[in-house]
Amino acid sequence: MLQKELRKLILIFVVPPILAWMILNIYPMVSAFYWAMTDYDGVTTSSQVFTGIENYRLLMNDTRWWDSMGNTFIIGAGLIVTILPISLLFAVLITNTVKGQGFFKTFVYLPSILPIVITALLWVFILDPTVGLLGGAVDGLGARDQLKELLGVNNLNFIGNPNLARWTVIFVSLWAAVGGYTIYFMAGLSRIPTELYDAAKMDGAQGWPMFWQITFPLLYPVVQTITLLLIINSLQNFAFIYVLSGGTPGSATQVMSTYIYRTAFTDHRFGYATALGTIMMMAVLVFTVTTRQLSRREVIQY
Amino acid sequence: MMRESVREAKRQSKEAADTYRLDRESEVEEMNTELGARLELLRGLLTARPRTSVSGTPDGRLKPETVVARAFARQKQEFVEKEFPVEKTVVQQQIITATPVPKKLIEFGGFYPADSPWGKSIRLVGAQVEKDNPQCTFKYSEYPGTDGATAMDLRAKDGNPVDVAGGGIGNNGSDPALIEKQWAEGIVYDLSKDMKTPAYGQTSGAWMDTFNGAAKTMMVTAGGKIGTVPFMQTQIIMYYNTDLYTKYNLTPPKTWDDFMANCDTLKKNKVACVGGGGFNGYIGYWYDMILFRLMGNDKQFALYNRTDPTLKWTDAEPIKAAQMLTDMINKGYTTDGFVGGDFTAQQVAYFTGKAAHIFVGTWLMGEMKDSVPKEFHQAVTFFPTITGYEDKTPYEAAFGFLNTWQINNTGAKTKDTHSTACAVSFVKAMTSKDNQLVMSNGDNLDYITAVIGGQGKSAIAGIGDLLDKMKLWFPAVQNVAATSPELQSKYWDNVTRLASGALTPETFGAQMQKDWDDVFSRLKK
Repeated sequence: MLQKELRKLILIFVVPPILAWMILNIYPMVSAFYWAMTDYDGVTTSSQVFTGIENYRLLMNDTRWWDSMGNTFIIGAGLIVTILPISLLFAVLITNTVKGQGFFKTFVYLPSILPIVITALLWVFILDPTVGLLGGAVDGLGARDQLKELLGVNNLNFIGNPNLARWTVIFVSLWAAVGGYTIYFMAGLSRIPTELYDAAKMDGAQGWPMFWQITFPLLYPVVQTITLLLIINSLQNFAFIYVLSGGTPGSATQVMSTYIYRTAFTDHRFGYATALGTIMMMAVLVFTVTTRQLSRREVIQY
Repeated sequence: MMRESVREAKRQSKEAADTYRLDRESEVEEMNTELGARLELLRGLLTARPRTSVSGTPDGRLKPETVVARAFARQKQEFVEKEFPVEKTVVQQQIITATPVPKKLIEFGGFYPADSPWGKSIRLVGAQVEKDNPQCTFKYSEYPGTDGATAMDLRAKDGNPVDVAGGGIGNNGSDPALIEKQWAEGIVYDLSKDMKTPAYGQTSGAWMDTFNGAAKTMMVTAGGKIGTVPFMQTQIIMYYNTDLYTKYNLTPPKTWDDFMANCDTLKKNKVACVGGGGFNGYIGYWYDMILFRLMGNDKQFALYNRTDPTLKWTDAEPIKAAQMLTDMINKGYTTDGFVGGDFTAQQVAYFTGKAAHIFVGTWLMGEMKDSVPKEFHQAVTFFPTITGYEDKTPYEAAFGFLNTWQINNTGAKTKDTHSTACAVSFVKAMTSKDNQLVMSNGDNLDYITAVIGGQGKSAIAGIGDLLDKMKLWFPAVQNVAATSPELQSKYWDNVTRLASGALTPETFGAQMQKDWDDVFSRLKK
């Protein structure tokens, strides 16, 4: 009797939020697959013509889409291989700092406080080669031509150079994000019992072996979580790239999300953009699941 | 005895009559005297010029003659009322409750926010029209950004148009097929009859004749229909820093070779020849103008809008234009941020003397008014011609936007609440000389009117003289966005890739042709 009453009570509390979640999340996701099979331009009802898999057929030959997918994974991989080790290094250094730990923590975390759009705009003007900080500094030193020669470039517009634009995006993203991930790692490091380090020291261990045999294995669940977060965030990166480079020059920094935005709101092809969005969703899902499977290992406890 | 009595009675009777007569005569005389005096006083009062109050003495009491005049008037009134009574009919007071007539709406689709100087001036005109036309009511709807015009166009196709919007048939170039298609869609109202009526506030003349010649050439389409009301011109022109020109002894270039020679001199003196760019459309303008000079207007329009399928992007002229653009960049004549930089920063580079030229629209000064140093001097000129191709286009040619309004026919969903007549009144008011003078004389420093006599002050010295000489005008990007927004987007994308070195002129031509084939094949379906 009590079980029945309890079940009823649970249902009353659980059903409304589930319904809300389904309406706000599941319905749009499912309906996206319908809109992906239309020629909808985003405004007129007359363009809501069912076209079947035509949009999916078109994207197979859309070189710009495949370029944007390539850019997404290149920039994503670049972020993972830079942010992960650098933030871990910062976390280890700060944790082992005796004096000024609070100062270094604040210093590293400060860029993460700024909103993404502000950070991107800030760097647009820092990196501007004519009137920005970079341009001003280089001209002040009288080193413009020398720097061009050193870097082997025609001009110092890093965002405007198709060979350098991606690295510029990775560098600026690294600057903005490393502080936040450092804090995550520091939280993970703080949970490792210090007795393990004392015991290892008594056995003569120090430096790199201590890190590799004690710190990293115990920190692995945090590493795994952060890797997955990095993958999801970098694959869905939109605002930062849109403001920093707009996907230019040409399509050098065009990622999936900015290309979808352009297709929908500039080209007025909402149906096709939705089809691209469904592909992006599947790509992120597959990549995330695969990474999780590959990175799975036994959790070590001492 | 009896004779004496009779004589005595007669004598007494005569005495009585005489006495009565005398009394009456005396009375009448007295009355006449008094009446005469009163009349005399009244006459005097009516004809005299009062130095002070007519009725009052300096100490505030009524003058005797005033008392007399008022008493006389009162007596007269009483006499008239007594002798000639008037039947007065009391009319029962009726309270009439007016049934308000629903006002018809004029909805204006504005590119700028409602509280911008633009928006405010348009709303003021709306208020003026409401006052002069009580049956009309005005509403300002915001459609900002580069996608605003497209959004309004799509809304019109959906049967729910705004009444007045930017755009207009004929504003988009001279493609007869496209114009015919637009008229066939029935969205835009034909103004040909209204253009023959007087302008706002006028009682004679034709509204049509208030526009300048260049504007009028874009207004009338096939069959004499008019779907465009121009009010402002926005041209893409070459600005140059006159201080740098004086310093390095340069002359305004008439040909591309002259321009390259100027650039070479500037580069030797460590000054960038070309600023601006940044935004991919601004890089596209350079390509547009170079190709225009090589192909001529008609061929360029036909290539962009595929009205002549035999013209290809892989032909000689498009490849040559691409080569000329990349040569200019690769020779180091542009600022470092010309490709991929922020366009505002690149414009600042021009105004701070880091670059000598900028090729951009007449909106520049209004946009950058807070960044232009007081001691900055500039002039404007036409884009140079190309040696060997001078016969293709006149030197005095420019492209840009003819800012126009179109009045939409009331859509199926709005026919009961909106009024085309109200919209016509509004647009007439907008394009009146007086309102144009106000709009071009305020904060809108980049406002160049198309209405004769309506030009206020301008922040671009010499622009009026320059545009007066203009022999040919064509729409920016040959209005390819009207054919398909995707075409313009892909075109600008490819031009930026060309400018950044990701494409060679040949691969640029091949990519443009591929994109054009792809988009037009889908448009046909």
